[in-house]
Formats: sequence, C-alpha cells, structure tokens
Amino acid sequence: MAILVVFYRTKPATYLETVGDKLLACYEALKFFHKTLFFSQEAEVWFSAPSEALGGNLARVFPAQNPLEATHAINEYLRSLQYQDLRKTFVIFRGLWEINGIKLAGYFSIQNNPEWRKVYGDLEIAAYAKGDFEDIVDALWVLQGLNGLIDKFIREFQRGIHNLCIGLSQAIFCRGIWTREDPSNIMAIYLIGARRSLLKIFYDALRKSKEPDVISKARPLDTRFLLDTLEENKDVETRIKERLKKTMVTEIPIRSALYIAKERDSFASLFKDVSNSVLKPAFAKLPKEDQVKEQIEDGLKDYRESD
Amino acid sequence: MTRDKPPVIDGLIPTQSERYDLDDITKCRLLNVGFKAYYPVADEFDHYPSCKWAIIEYKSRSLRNSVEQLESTARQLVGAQKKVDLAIIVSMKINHKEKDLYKKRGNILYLKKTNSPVSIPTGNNRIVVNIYEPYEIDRQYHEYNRGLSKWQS
Repeated sequence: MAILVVFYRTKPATYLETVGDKLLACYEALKFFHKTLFFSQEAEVWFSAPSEALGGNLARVFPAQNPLEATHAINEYLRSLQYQDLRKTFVIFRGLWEINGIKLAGYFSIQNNPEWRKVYGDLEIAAYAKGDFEDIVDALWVLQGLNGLIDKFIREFQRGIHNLCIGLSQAIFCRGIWTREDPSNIMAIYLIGARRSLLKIFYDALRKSKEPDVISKARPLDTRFLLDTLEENKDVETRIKERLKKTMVTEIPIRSALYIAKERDSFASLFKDVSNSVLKPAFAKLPKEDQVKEQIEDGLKDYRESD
Repeated sequence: MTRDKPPVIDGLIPTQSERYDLDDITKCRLLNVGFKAYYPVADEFDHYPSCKWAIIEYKSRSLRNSVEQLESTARQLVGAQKKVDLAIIVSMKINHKEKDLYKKRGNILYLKKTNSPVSIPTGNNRIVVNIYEPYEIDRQYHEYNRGLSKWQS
C-alpha cells in the first residue's frame, strides 16, 4: 500500500458515469506525477482481481506512455461493458517511479470491485518493494520539500476533479495497509471534516484496541454526540494543537485538512497523546455500560401507569 | 523481518552462493534473465539442495503487491527457461483489512471468497503461494539448528 484515495459522490450519477469519473480522477493523480516522478508505460483492465494468481482475468492492455490517450481508450472500452462486468473491473496504469535516482516499479490502480475497494480504496497509488524501500511512501519521505509536494498534489488533484461527480473524501499515505485498528502506519492523511475526522479515526482505533474502560463506556454513547462535544471544546482544540506540534505532525488546512508526519512514528505518538489527553479524559467521568443499563431499568421500574 | 533467513524447505536451506538477490543487477546477470524495469520483481530466487527453486518476497506490507511480485517474477523466470517450484511470501500476520480477501491455512495463502489457494499459472503448472510469518521461520531455524527438521521431510 502507499497512497489510498477514497471518493464520495458529489452529485447524482449513473454507475457508468461514476466509473468513468474515477478513471478521470486517476488520470488527474497520474498527471501530477507523470514525467517528474512516475513514468507511465502501459495500462491494463482486469476482471475480478488484479492478477491471475488472485483469480483475475486480464481483459485488455493499452499503451500508456501518453496517459491521456490511454484514459480515453480505456473509457471507450469500459463503456462497452455490461453493468455486471463493469462492477468487477480494475484499471491499472503500470510504470516506473524514479525518486532521487531510485527506480521502483509501481502503479495507479482503480478498484471498481466493491470487495477490493474496501481494502485498497477507490484508487491506490503504489510502488513494489525493492531493497530498503518497502513502498512508495518510504521513497517519497526521502524527498526534500515533501510537505509542499503533498500539499500541491492534494490541491491540484481537487482542482482537477472538481467538475466530476466524485469528490475527495480521504487520501491516506501509509506504510502498508491502513486499518481502522491501527493508525500508527499513517504518514500523511487528507480528511474532510479536519480535526473532527482525525478524532474519529483515533476514537475508532481506541475502541478497537479493546481498552476495557473505553469499550464499556462507549457502547451507550452516540459517536456523533461525542465528536460534536469534543469539537466544541476549547481545551480539546488547544491540546490537539499542542500535540500536533510535539509529535511533528503538520496540519495544513485546505478546504478540509491535511496532516503530514515528519517521522515514522509521528502518528503513533499523536494517537497515543490525543488518546491520553483528550479521549480517555472525556470518558473518565462517564458511567459504564452496566450503570446506564441499571438506570434505564430503574427508570422503567419507577414508572406507574396513570389511572 | 530480515532477509537473513529463507524458509526451511524439506528440512534444508539454500546455500549462500545459490541465493540470487533480484534487486542486484549483477546477480540477475548471472541468472541470464532480463527483468522488465516496470514489471514487479520479488526479492530473491533461491536454489535449495533438494533441487527446488523458490522465489521469495520478504517484508511484505501488502499481500496484493507481494503476490503480483511473485507472479510477475515467476512468469519472467519461466519465460527465460528457469525452473520455479515454490513461491513464498514472508509477512507479518495478515492485517484486519486484508483478512477480508485472504486467509492463511497451514502455510498456504488462500482467497477467502473462493476458498482456493492463491496460485501462479505458469504454462501447464500452477505454483501455490506459501506464506510464513517471521516467528514460523525462527521456529524452523531452531529445529534446523537442532538437526530435527532434517528428519521431518
């Protein structure tokens, strides 16, 4: 894994239009890196899975030294497919990353297959492991001026897709596959909803971490209510600001917010610090699940039928 | 997770001189295989004393990537008339998200949806993809060093 992009629907559209717009969005991402860091070679359309070993079938191969021409040709091909086939497709632009003299084979891959999309996002931008570089994120993080590059990528990508029926919901730069259980491998993340969404990610991870005190208090609690309360609290704002600085995570507000880690363990530290200074204190005085249950039962017991 | 320890196969490990680091151009030249630059390539191609050849991908962070690396390498090697018997991923425990797609049964990687082993088609054969966690390899080496695994195959 490397850069995982998740879209949301901005306006009503048919499935074919959405698939076509995802392809155009992929082109916009590729265009940003093309001939500076990434050299596109060929594009493939797969059914069911992105390789034969994984149970897929290669449907078509297109030359892609010119990504725009390839995008048009692939779009034409996708339009000729039936809905049930379209839902199984993967579009993969293969090529070579060249970063600071290091060459890595890599790809831009669109997952239209719902099961795969859940794991690898709508669009995955990646490099295959080679030597010390285990994925594209390792290679990008050796670049000078990385914050500027990521910021520019997100801005230009958003500009490029603003007319489409999809918008950018999340862009996660991570080492390996990002899971809700563990935010520690995130290196940068663009989030709609800024700090509220960041808190949501940390809250989800804290709940999944099986901390007994949090689990028993979180069950009766509405997540939206909790996040609204935390968002409105001035102390929370101050504490997060301090922790971002301490853990060397840069916050760049662009429509929503982009968080970029300086060190490998910055997000792990930020998660730990925000959990200890915001989330766990927020739960400290809340009643446990059993107490809430008891109070519900008490309330029911106290009720008397009126005559 | 290091590249010091290729898995023990049939109670044997490859000799150092017959381990080919596929990131190393000099080693690739010895194999006489011209790997395409933008095609994924696995980490190693090792010859075991049991006459088996194994492609190994270490430090896997994404199973999709690792399988693609093994598949592409196997095809390029088989295309260059090289024998490939085993495809091996050395990976940490399958993570929560990837568990929706894959599962590990014994040391074989399976596709969850079809309940079939992940296998690389090469001509008339299919090479089943094996997966090891580092602790399993450590255990193999512990047994190997005690001389136990030599009697197990």
